[in-house]
Amino acid sequence: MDTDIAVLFITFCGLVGIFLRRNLLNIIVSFLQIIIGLSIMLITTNNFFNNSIQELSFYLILVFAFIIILFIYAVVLLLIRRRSTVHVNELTELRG
Amino acid sequence: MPDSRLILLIPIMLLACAALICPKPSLSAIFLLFQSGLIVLLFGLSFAPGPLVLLCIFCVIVLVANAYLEKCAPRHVLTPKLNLALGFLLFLFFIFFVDRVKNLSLDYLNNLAQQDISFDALSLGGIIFIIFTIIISAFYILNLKHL
Repeated sequence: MDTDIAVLFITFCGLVGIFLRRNLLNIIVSFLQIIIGLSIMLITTNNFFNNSIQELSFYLILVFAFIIILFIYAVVLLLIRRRSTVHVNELTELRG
Repeated sequence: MPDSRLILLIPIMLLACAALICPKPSLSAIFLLFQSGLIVLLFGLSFAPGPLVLLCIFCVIVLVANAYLEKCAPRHVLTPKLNLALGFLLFLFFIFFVDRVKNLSLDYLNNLAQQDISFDALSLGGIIFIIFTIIISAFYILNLKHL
């Protein structure tokens, strides 16, 4: 069992979830799954390149990704207040 | 890392698949929490465990927020057929092309000088354009008419 297969599979599951799920909360979960795959990849590349990736950069990546998730949560809260739905197919305001 | 510990990667992949299939967001977040806990068990000794514990805390925050928002918003029970077909095609694509991606050689990255990676004008312009687009769309979403 290799770690790169696991990284590819987890990131692939996250990407498929982002493109296929219609609920915004499920899309957030898929985004977090991509972050988990990214963290495994960072650890394995850290072992491969002889500890070239510092711990601080790992913290920065994780915190930056979670800030993006918090922005999506703010959008979800606004949608629940105004439209009372988190379903993507019902948000047709920006369609041409 | 010994191979016996790498068996833990199989439940991590199964949990990823379960989080993809499960329709409820809070249940998917529980799967993600278990997944990150297994990653802490697997990689916590070989790498610094601080960021991995931070990842677990993020999963707990997402779990609580999903459970709360799932109660607030009404659920839509739909049967997506085209999405399932697209997911199946993407899964076949993953199975057939995973060997090409897996056998990529990363040795040339060791010889890459650090000063060769620098920001040029095109990438900087792209970053500024992306940030500008994000800000404009955020203002549109927030419906702020008096900018």
